[in-house]
Amino acid sequence: MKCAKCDDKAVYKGQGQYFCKNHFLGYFENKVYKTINKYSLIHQDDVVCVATSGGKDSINTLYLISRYCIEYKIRFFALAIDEGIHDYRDKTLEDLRNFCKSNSIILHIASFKEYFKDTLDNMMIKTDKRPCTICGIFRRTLLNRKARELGATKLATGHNMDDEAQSFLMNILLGNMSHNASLGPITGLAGNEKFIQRIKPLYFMTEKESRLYALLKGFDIGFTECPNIGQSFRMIIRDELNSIEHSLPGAKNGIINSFNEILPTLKEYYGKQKSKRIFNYCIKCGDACSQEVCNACRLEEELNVSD
Amino acid sequence: MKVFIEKTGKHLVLEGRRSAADILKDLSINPESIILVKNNEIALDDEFIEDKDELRILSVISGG
Repeated sequence: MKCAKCDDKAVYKGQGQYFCKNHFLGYFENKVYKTINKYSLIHQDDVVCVATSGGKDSINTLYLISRYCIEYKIRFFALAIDEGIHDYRDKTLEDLRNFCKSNSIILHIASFKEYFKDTLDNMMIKTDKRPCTICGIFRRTLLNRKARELGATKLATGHNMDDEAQSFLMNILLGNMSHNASLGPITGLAGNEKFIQRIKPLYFMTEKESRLYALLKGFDIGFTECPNIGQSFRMIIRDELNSIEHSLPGAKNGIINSFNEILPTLKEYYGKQKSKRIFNYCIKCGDACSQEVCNACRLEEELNVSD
Repeated sequence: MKVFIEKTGKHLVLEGRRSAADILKDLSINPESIILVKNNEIALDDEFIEDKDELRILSVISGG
């Protein structure tokens, strides 16, 4: 099959469109930059922190943000979290260090060991909690805390369309509709000194498009999967969603577009409910939270790794 | 043909010319979850794979 725009061989088929390598790369980059501009993800006076794991999505995000920020003279840097997962994170961090070095990008690394006094591997010995629960709470907290320490005003993540569609459906199936109000291409309130707004430049790119982009750009990212991943609820939804997409091409796009239509209404409705509550700052660490003590501090207490 | 499945690390040898889509169907692999590389070049699933070819089935899901 040939590219729809030239005579070269197609490497991509998406919703009836066939593109060759060059036209696919152009399509991908244009769509990401269009997302950044349409949703005002980055402003001239921002300092952008790109949360990176060394995987394809975050490497693509880092590469495209770096190009954007260099062009518009906006400050940016990369931040990685070392959870302390033996034989996994050490490898992805090595790939990330090499990538940042060859692209002259400043990379900061913050570890669970440094901030929460232990590695994830050791924490798992002390609790029955699932590793993804511990990792999710501590990683989210640490990204915000470290990005803030480094002066960032935006935190860019590699979330793609698949991630977002999965989260939306999971929240519906679990009856957590209010959580959907916290999704979208940009989340968090502007100007909150404790919580850095999060942006998702790959919001309208599928997981498959993201891997293809990384492959065609020659980013040296081997197949790596966290050893703790197991058979999670998200994996079930992911597989079902891929089956639906195969039978009904464009279904993921349809879900995300429908979601974005109702997102302003969700934000308004749940925002009003939230404003009735007293907004708290954690009495232990001072981070923004909706209770007296934030989830990370409570988890630290549970793990008995706090002072 | 030699087939490598990245997600499982499995190497297979299959015989008989057929489309990549048919191979994926036989292996119960959803085309949405993979990218095909035929003889070191990206391929679409309507391409035919010959006995002399080498096919790599790359997983689009990684990280965590």
